[in-house]
Amino acid sequence: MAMTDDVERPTLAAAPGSPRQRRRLRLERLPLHVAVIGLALLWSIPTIALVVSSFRTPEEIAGSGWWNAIKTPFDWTFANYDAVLSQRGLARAFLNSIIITVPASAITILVAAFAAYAFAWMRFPGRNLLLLVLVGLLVVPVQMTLIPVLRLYVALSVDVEIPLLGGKLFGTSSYPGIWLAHGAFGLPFAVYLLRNFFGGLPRDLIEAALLDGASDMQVFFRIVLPLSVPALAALAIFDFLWTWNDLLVALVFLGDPNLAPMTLRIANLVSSFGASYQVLTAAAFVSMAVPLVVFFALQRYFVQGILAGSVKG
Amino acid sequence: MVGRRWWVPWLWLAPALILVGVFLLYPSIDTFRRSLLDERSQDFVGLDNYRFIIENPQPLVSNTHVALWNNFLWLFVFTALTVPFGLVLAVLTGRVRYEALAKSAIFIPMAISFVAAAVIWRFMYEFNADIGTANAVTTQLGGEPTAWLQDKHSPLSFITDSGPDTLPGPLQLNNFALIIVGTWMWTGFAMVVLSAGLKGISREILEAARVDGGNEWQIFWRIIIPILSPTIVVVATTLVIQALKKFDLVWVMTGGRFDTDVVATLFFKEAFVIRDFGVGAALAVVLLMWVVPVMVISIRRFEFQEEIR
Amino acid sequence: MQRSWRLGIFTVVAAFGLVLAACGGDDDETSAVGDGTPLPPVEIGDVDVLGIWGAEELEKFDAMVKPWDDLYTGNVTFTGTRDITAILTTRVEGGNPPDIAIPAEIGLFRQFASEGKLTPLSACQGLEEKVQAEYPASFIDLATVDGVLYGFFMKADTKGTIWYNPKVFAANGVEPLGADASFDDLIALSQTLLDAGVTPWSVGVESGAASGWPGSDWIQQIVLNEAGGEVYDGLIDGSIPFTDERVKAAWEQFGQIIHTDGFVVGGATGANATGFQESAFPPFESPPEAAMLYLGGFASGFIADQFPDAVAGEDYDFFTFPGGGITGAANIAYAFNGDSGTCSLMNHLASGASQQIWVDLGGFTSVSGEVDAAGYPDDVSRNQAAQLLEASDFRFDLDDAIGGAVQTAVFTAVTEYISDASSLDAVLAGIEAARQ
Repeated sequence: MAMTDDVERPTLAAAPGSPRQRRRLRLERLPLHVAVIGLALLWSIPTIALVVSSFRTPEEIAGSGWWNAIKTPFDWTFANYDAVLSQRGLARAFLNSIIITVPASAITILVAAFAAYAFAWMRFPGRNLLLLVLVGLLVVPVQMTLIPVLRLYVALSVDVEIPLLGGKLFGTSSYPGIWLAHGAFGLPFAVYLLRNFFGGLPRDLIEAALLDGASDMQVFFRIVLPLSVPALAALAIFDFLWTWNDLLVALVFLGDPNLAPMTLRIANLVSSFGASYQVLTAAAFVSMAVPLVVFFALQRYFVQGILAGSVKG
Repeated sequence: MVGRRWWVPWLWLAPALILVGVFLLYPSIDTFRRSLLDERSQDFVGLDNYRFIIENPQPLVSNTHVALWNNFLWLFVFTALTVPFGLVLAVLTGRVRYEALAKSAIFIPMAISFVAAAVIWRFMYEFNADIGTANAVTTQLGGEPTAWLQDKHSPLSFITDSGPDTLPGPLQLNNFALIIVGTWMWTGFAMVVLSAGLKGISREILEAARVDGGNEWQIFWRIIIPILSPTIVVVATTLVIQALKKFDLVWVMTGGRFDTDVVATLFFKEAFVIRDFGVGAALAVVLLMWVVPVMVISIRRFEFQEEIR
Repeated sequence: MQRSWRLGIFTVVAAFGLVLAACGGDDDETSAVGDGTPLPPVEIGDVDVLGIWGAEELEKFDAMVKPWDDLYTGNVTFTGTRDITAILTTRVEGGNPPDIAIPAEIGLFRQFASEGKLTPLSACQGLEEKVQAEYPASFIDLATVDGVLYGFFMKADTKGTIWYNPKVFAANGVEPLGADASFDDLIALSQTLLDAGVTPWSVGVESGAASGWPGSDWIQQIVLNEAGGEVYDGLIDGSIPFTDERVKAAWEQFGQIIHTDGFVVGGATGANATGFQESAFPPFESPPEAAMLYLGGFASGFIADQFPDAVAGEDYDFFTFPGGGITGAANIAYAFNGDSGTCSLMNHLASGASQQIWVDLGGFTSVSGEVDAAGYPDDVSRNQAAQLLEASDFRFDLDDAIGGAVQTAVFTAVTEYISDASSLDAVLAGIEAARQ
């Protein structure tokens, strides 16, 4: 493999040294670049195909391969994007997606962080068994939970309209209902990931703080969370993404077009026999924009050595 | 450990336990109950639904044996591809200036919705060589167009003429074609989580090792891998479970047809298409039981982590 | 890293701006009722409808219910999904059914009706009488369970249509078959075209989890016309097994099309690997890659979408599947309660006047006797409606009518038989095994 990095430059920090030394390093790093660029390109082929297709007409998409669009003079069309963006109520659906996703992800991360702290740094009977059950529920397919949860929601429905936000206070067709559902579905993975990261923090640091009289809350907010920022960022990215891209849960609990998220609007761009599915190529990029921003925004927190000198080898 | 009142941990756990209890545990128990009832969840039928899974009496409707074998294939091949790819990419992209760009190329598939991913991969695998990318390449190389998502022959017979035409069990070309799509989507996940773990390794340790004369290869195996191993276990476990419950991708690409069913798609089919809740629930229970050995192994890992820290 | 992060933000802000700009003018929730003297809307609650429509269909459905929306205070909240069986099952089992469901599947409808989950049409004033008076008897029978009428068919599709390229036919000196032709005539026609160097058929049965249904459509047409209606009905009620010689013969006749070298674009492998939608394109491409395809009336929509310049009747047309008996499918509308809003909307959907709105917009075949055939946008769609209403022998789609496990088994059997002709006896026995 291309593990030929130089000794002085463990990361992307600017390289010191003379120009000649730098040239030598550059050559040595060639296999690294080839590997990274090669893999990135390989992974991008379908994505590029999707981008190219999103600017083609249905006749072109079904008539010739996407690479032809690159070879021959490309006849761009924004018809697909137009069809997506001019959909009635798309702005509202976009807003709905944010209304659903942000609180749901926040619930998952916060609740999971509390639980993970307890699993990692507190002793209580049945701890490992409980963790096993909790994380094991990661395997539960969402489809399995829908009918029981729906029954529960019908029974617990609170038919009071929430001002501004819209929807009922609780039950079906309510945002709090779908927040809790999504929040719960994300928990097993979140607890698992955070338990692992919290558990990897140095014991000296945490016990010293507790012995100094710090409360669990103080340790949690002032030591554990700040030191786990990369893990929290990674978790936030995925939890946001999974909720954002959900269609099934929304279909069951939030079918009302005024409350439904963008995924449902986009699914409705396709007819019952699947006609005009090419619009989905454009829709993919429209709906991907927000998760990508979250990804780029949170990537800043993947900073090398946030735990400088604190992890034992 | 510091002395706390006994109920303090439970206070920290309570929100998670309540949510998981209501939204995941209760439905699981309800599913188990239904797995012992008939297709309309009315009469008790004992283990009949489990017998259905073992005896496989309706292979044209729900080929339970094929689904179980396919789950095994997904489990091993999907995990064995995704974790190493994710690890290598996490390590390598951290060493180049265009880290963010390279990472986003790998991450984007994760952000694409399943429906859109299905659209594009159907173009990749399209039978018509004028449209299908894979078949365009194949025919350019002088081969015949292949029905990637329908072909049950062995992948070997595709690569070499001398290979056996069919292989036992799930070793079908179309299964591998699906697993490639899964790997494409999930490598970004492995990369991002591992990369978060990697960033937690202090620079001093790496530099100390380099000063001691270790080459990058040694540093990778002797320092990065051991420190990262808890994270690798988390990623691998998550991916194993993803492989077990794999549904969306198979459902949108092939619908489980041509012997590509996995347990989760069969569960869905039985419960929501054929509306036999009994068999559907029994399949879901099989899925739940499958996770036990996986979790036991990975929880052991946590106990180990506590001993050494 | 910083730069690409900012670029990302910029992209999204721009995209968001576009979204807002594009959707700025859609706040038409306060619809003015009538132009001159506004009538006060009648008090009625929202009606929750679960259906399968999207894209243009959804717009046309909206147009169809607009007069109703204007008349009442309540709105139609329509949820469209192609996974309607799963969503409807979940919502019914979860105790939260929609007010009205309009799926394409009749097996599910029968099950709900016999479990007492549906509200009879008689619960709504005037509805049962209207449906009895205005709909053909065969469709009324299909919507009747245990002697009670629970629904009506509001958007139908004939499955007796063989689509062909008239120009290819003319160039090769062949004529479309008449309704009194036999299946052997169809084989002879195919052979003539093949001898002239034209691939006669485009076949595609790929359709995700339901892959195989277009093949099942082929076979059901052959069963109805070659073996007769009694065999067809026997297959549905289970009195005749799929292993019956007459049924097997129909499968083999389908095999004559699919397994004869040169009859099908891409051969049998191509048929299994080609999506049913894409299979509608080869006969009408330039140059054409095939002469005909067999697919339901909805195929005209695929052709029109894909080839916007193609003229119905000139560039594409259909002839009736040889034998005269017609199969078809339809969306069935049924209600889960008898609330005033639900009843009022059911009445609206069942009425010929409101269906006329969608008929005039195109892409809708009505079985209501009150719809004026002059409204269909072209002869091709008018003839489809006529075929459906005037067929000497009409049957509802075979596998849809059976539903459940047997339907799934039939689909699997079709794809297995296509990929391996020698598997026929085994797969037919496999279908019977699914009857339990």
